[in-house]
Amino acid sequence: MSLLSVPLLITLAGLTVGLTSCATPLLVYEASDMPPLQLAVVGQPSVQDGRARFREIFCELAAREGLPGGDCEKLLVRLAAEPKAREQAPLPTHDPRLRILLVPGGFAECFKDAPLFPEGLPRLRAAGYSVSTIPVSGRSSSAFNAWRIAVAVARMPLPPEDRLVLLGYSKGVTDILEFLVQYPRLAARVHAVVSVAGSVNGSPLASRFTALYEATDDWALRNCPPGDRNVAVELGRELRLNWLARHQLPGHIRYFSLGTIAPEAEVARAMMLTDGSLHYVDPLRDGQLLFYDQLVPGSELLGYVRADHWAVALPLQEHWHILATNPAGTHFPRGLLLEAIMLHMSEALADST
Amino acid sequence: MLDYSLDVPAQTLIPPGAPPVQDGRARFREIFCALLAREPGATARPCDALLHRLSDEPDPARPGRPLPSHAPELTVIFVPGLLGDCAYGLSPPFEAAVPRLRRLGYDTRVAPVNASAPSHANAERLAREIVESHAERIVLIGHARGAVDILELLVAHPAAASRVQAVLSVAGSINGSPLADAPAGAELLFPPGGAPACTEAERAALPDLKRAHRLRWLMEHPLPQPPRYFSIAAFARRSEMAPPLRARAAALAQIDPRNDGLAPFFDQVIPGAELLGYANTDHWSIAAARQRPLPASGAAWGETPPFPREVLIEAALLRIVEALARSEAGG
Repeated sequence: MSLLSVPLLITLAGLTVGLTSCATPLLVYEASDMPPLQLAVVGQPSVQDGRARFREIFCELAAREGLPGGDCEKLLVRLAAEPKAREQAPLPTHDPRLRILLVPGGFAECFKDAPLFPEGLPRLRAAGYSVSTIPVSGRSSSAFNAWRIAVAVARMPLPPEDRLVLLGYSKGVTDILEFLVQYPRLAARVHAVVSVAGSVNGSPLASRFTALYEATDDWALRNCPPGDRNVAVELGRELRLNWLARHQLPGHIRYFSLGTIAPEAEVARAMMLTDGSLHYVDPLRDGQLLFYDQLVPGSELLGYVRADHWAVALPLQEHWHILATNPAGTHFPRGLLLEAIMLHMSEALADST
Repeated sequence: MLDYSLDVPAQTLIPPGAPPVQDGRARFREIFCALLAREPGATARPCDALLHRLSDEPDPARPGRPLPSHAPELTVIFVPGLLGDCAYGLSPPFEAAVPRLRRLGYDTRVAPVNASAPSHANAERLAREIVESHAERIVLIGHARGAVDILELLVAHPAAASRVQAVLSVAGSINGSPLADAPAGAELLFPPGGAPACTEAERAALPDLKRAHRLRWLMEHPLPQPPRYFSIAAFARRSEMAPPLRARAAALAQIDPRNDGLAPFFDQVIPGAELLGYANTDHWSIAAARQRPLPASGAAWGETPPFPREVLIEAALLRIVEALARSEAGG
């Protein structure tokens, strides 16, 4: 595991504190008082609320694995106006016709011993799914990575009865969206896109830190291929929203979004200071993203898991025992989450052609 | 963290299931600029400086379309916000717009809502006024919390709502205001030295403007269709705002520097509305004229020429009339 990005993160965080320490946050509310929100470009479709069914699936699966119900309730943040499940439906069955391509986030290539959902992949394979991870460039723009996704999709054997699901984490989601609009003929092969903690609208943090990142990345990430070096620019809020305003996502694909929210004490120590910067913008964030920046337009919202931006998908706590762990000592059951997502996909795509 | 930049698309903060906002900026700019060109002293500020042009605003139609005609059979009712009872060095909201619209033939008045009353109480008062009036085709225009009072009316009083053809929010507090959430914001809204009766009354209305409360309300209360909804939002550089709003704008800049001194630009649009544009002015100047030095600070208003709010309102009304006519014609 390379720790070279840690000095960079700490430098960024220190600057964050210096720039924000005089202010008082304006927004103060409990998560249970606020409904899910989407910062949407005008003209885009809004998200649809799928929280009730996903909670049902997630908690039923958790119960089968012996996780107490109260714990399950805590693992999915209950924001305001969450609908009640209409009727207790049974757990769906896995549909191994779903073929899954995972797209990691920014810098993933730099941390090869912290792969995406390492606990989840064996579970999915045991359930019969074909699942693999696309090796996108960790320090490159989404336009750069769209090509790598295109290659992977083109090479994927896809019998007529099978369905291709692209699951992106963090910046991997914007890489997927870029691929969909750049390669419409290959996008036609895709049935569904799942966003996990997706940097759909970017992050306000990017505007502040891009210049510093660009000044130090060749040193801090010198063991990591540079690609086009545009990863930080790509996460700017303005750039991402302008991108969404200029591009229409393919209509034949089903989109699903799962966000992340972590209380301050449950954010990894290495992100606490960047999280502190975001808390002046909104109480609900995951250390790197605000909750309303994480939803794909027109997607079905599955819910918000209670995990910071790393813990939801990456095994960093196992490698960085101080920096990636949090003061509350919480962990998130990533394997369970990934299986619940795929059960939901199996049910939702059952009728798709 | 974010810069004051116009290189952003129009955006709204919405709960799941909210109907999408329609983009009416190009046509509204065309109407507003054509009207403004007819005004005496029209060159004081170019039209393009009065309406922000964000990165995704469509180009106007070519060739330009003629101005629509007025429809004076409509009744126009203005609903003021918290400025209604306590105008700090300002004229009453919409004071100049009312006679202008009357001259154009509209039955026009300002609703007697109460700044200290909760929105549901104001909604009831508005509903009573509508039901007791003979007006059958009404356009409601709400500034700030007045827009919220209107939305509460439409949801809670369907008989009155059935007579409303269109709603226009002007810098509406649709998603509330972040300043209403925490004591830090309330201190900025009601600094020491304000008229005590007014500040106490206004403080009582703050819970209605908490962002969580408003967004939850929007999610739990889908707005009826009809009427048609239209929104004009506002934001300006802090240095160009009325002095009392500058500290508020600075605090709001933590969230987004594109704010009007009460709310960020993405909090001011009714879900499902036609977005008419973003006025380059602050939360007060879009609705009321400056009258005298501010009582608390005595601060000067600065050199920025007054915003042509009456022209803005007339242009919005023309666009509303045009849209209603098109709907009735099935277009």
